[in-house]
Amino acid sequence: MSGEEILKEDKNIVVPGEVVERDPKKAGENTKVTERGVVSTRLGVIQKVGRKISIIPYSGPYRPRDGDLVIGVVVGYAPNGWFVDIGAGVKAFLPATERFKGKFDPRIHDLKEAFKLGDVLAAKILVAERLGAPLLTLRGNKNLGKMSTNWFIKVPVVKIARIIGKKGSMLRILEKGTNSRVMVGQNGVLAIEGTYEAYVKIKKAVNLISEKTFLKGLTEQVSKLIAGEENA
Amino acid sequence: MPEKKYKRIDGRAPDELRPFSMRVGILKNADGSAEIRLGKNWIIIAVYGPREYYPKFEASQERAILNCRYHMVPFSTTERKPPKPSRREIELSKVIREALEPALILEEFPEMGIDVYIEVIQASGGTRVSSITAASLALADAGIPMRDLVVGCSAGKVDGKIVLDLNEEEDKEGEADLALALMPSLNKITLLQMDGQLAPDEFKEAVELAKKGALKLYKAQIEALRKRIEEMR
Repeated sequence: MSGEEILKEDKNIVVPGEVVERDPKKAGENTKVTERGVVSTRLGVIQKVGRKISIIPYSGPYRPRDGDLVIGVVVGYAPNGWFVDIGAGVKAFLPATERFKGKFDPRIHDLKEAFKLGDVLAAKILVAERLGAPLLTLRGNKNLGKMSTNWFIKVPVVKIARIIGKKGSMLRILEKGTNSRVMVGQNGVLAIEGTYEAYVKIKKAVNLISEKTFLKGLTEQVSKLIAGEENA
Repeated sequence: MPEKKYKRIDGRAPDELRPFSMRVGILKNADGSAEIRLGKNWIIIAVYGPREYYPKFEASQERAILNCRYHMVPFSTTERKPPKPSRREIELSKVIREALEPALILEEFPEMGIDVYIEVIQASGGTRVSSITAASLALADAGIPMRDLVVGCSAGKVDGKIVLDLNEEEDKEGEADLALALMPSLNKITLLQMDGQLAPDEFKEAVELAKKGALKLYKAQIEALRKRIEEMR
């Protein structure tokens, strides 16, 4: 077996079931090691990071991960906390102790007063792989908690990385160009603190990014759009 | 008569598929969608999920539940088809689900459900296999992890000859028809059904022929998926 055989180049399109690599040690994200070799499990584009070979999926659901910042909606109460819809297919759980300082005492603290149904929260995922529901926390970042803005944009989860850009470059363009602040939920929600005009501009830019994800020179197009040049 | 002159009711060669086309991502609301046209067949698929599964007591702690709904619209056939799910449609929904399940990595989504809606807009023989072909495209479009794509193809015996991809007339008049679904790169069969009678060697011939047809459709499947990503460049 020739170990150096290159089956797929960087940025090649792959479909589920396609063999992308023979060496099982190089299996990265969204691949599966089988007796035929390393097989892609998703529709997407190949990305080689170091020695690993991964697939950037072109679509797909949100998969919670430890430490993700997510933006979700309060959808239910439990005796000791809230259920939050973060778009992961199962509701996440936010314990009451995260909101109330010290010990949670149902005689003193009112769950319904702290967060109402329909409130939008920013939270961090403490434990993702937990039986039942992912566990949320409000600690570790002072921006977490109930959101003060009303402008939200839902985007496909797989586009989040592109919206942030390399080291946050794309996000900086969006924020500086519109003089607003954008909070990115890894579950595919953007919260915009700024004017309505800023929201509209960002929404247009985000739509462009979602539609032309793999386009070369996307960053320039987005900065043109944000700057208000109509031909972008 | 030499064998080459054998012509079928619509003028195809015995191992020739009807003209076909596939498209991915036709519905904006759905998480994944696809369309297939094979001869007069026209089928639209919408995939939703993985999402929270109801009723809760039927959800599994180990894997996602796959739900399939095969449905023919009332105008899909020349005679009106009552919109209520018929016995046949309920059975086909189950059969299609079981043909797709082996290809999906459902263990990654415990307590969730995936819904596959199959609407047959126009039917003309071989809708179950076409549905499987298109459904696997829609599932890939939805970004659900898969071991392989699934592609369906039919074969049968008409007028004493084993032929590929029966149309409606051949399906009705023929001696036997055989539906097959294949995971092409794993070379595993996920569905094998037969109606009518075939001798053992005829059966083998029909299976091989259906496999050959499936591989042709598989190439078109890959093309359709690639095109979807190319649109983003």
